[in-house]
Amino acid sequence: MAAILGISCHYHDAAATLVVDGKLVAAVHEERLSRVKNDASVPLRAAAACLRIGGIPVTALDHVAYYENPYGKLERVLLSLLRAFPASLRQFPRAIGGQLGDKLWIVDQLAEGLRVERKRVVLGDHHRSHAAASFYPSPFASAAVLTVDGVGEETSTAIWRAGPDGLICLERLGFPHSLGLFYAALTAWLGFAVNEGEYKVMGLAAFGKPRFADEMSRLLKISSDGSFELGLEYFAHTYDSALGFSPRMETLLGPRRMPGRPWALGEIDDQRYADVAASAQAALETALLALARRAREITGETALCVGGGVALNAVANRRLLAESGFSRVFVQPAAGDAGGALGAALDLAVSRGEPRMAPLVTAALGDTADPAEAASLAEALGFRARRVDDRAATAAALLEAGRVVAWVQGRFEWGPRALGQRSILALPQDASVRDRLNRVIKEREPFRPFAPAVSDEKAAQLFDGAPNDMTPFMTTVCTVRPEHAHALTAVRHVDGTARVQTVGAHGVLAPLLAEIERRALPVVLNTSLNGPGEPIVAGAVDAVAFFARHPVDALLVEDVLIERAL
Amino acid sequence: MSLVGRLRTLGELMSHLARRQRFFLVPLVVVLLVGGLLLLATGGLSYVAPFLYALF
Amino acid sequence: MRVGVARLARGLPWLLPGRDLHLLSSFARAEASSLLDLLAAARQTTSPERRALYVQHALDEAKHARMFSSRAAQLRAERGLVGGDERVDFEDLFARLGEVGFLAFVHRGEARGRRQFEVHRDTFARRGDARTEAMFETILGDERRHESYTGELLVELAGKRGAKKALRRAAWWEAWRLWRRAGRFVAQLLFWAVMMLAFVALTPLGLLVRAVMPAPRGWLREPPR
Repeated sequence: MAAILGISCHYHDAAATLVVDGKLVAAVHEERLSRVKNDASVPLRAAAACLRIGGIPVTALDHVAYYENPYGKLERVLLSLLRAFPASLRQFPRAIGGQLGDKLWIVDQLAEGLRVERKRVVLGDHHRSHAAASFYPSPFASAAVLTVDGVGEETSTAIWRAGPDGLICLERLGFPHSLGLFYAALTAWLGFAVNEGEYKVMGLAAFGKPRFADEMSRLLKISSDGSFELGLEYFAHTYDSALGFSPRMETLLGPRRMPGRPWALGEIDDQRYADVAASAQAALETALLALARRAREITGETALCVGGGVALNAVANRRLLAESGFSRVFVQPAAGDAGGALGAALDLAVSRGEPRMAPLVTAALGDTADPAEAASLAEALGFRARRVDDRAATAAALLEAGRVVAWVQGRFEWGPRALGQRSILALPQDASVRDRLNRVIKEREPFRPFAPAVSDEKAAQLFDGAPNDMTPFMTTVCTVRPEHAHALTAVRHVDGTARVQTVGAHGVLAPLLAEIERRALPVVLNTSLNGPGEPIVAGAVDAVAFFARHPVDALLVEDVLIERAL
Repeated sequence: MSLVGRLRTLGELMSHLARRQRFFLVPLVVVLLVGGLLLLATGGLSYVAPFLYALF
Repeated sequence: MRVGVARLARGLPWLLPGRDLHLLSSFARAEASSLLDLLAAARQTTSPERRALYVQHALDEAKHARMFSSRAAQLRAERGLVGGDERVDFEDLFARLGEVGFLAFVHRGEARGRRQFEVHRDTFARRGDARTEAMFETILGDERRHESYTGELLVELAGKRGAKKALRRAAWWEAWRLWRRAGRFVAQLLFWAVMMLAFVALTPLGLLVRAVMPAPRGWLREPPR
């Protein structure tokens, strides 16, 4: 038996995964267990959870696969500090401190923290980990793979050929020319937190018109061979990671938007910001399409896998499927750096001759929540808790009565999206439900849309282009068919698209959708079970604490229904 | 904290730089490490200032 | 000592520009960090009764954190300042100190918080700011409850003498952490100074690298490693 623990951490989204004899047994984000959003620290809790779920003692681990090479990273950091001399003065102590004081020593930190021998820790390659994470869980025997992110060791973008012989990197683009950093800079300029706010920019873009194409072409120049370059004078990432962008960006686009200011899309100012967002999104999509076409040319494949943080841009993924010339596109749910933990483990497994994992059908790879614990805690806090016989029927009845239900079933999700394991559910017919959810429960900006979950049988009737390889994991968007636009207002974004989750016959939401289908469209509004600024709920304590703090109407943990006392 | 382990890490770093023929970085790293030891001595950089984007 | 400083400084932080914002933000951060520690404690404790108590306490901390950070956000909006940082410190003190040690630490922290807030509340009462005074008064009610239940639990788990010992140990540990923090602060200053010197010394190398090793452009075909 060969057990490999995959680890990613130190920069974004720490995670641990466990692959046993080539099979994916568990995958956990550290933030879910530490309750610190985007926790990037060494994921000892997630690792322990993976081992516990897999029933593997740490002494039985063959290897710990780390998703990147810290020496390569340090090399690039030093070189870019020197290249940016003398502007990199402020960044210098911070960078050196971070690298030499902490990040360089990952092998030792893992060996000591996990109590494994140092020689068992294997270092990977950042983009290779992304490529492996996006290809091996895909349903394709062979494919082209595109990895696009901020930066790995020194690569920001890479094209791979993937097949039975493994992954081969065909060509790549180097730091500082990076689509991830392009989008991040605009995210910062729009007043959002980087690495959190990119989703918001994507949602905001639908409200604007992409009329700043000229400005964008100065920031991002795309060549005929599919490669691109950034107009480096507008960015700051070569010399200072605490600034989002250089002063010249504000000369080009106007003053940045102050973070935290409430949005008023009816007004000229905010409408202009939305137009910039739309322009940035359009530029990103154009660049990705050019890269995808290049990938098709040089690999000749018909299927495409996309990985790296930029693959989280679901709106761009829709265009990739529609326009890149590939007939199928797959994006794994945790396409960002957390996915590196998955890719590192899978890549090492394959290189050791273990069989490739079966195509990913569910993202439920975390830990379960104990209903008995939830019940006793709920009662101690003054709520009512009782067991129900038919959870789907109970939940459906509540939803049909216009209630909002917090739903905790099975193992929590891998990836940033809730897929029915830790969700807040409501029926989509009512726009006031969406407002209530956005304003009171999740406290998000008013332009943030909610997502629908639908059975894959019915998906095609309601959404164009559904189901496809990405829809089970919500990594793409589809247009709502016009005849159903009215019924699905709460989950339809202003441009008519929805980030659909298609649920198979064995999906955790399938019985609930079947119940709802008896009386209405089999669609449920699904948003992640967490409050503002917190990671998605994991266990019973988190779920009940959420219920206590936020005005959802009921909480269902497995078969235990928790409601407020009358 | 294993000193042997840490030394091995440094060795791996040096051989990486040698393999990539970035020899001019080797003395630089040595000098910076000496500077960094100051922090290590008092419990280290367990908390580093937040970066806007974790590049470095 | 912190209470003494608060008493001495009394009105001062609230008068110095930017200082009141900093104080509110740091209270918000402390409450948010406490929230995480208490949730972790709730997850790790073996007793369902204590689990409920910790969750209830965590919910209070969440409420306080919200109150402090929205007041800070209001002030920031009034002054046209950029948004604050959302840092949270999570050290999983339950795992580090054990349940008894954790309770002792929290008890001392709540007592200290209560005393500090009493001083601040009085400051605002004197200045006639009824709103902020009321905010502190609400929070104070919770802090007193927290202080008393943690004290009771401590005695229940460790006995009277054990409780005293645990509290003493917590006091020593806090003092040591303060020392470490001070040491780290000094070390960071030194580090910064050394790095600045190193940077200046790197001028020739920097200029050379800029000239002969610019960043690559376009498609690269050689494998990264």
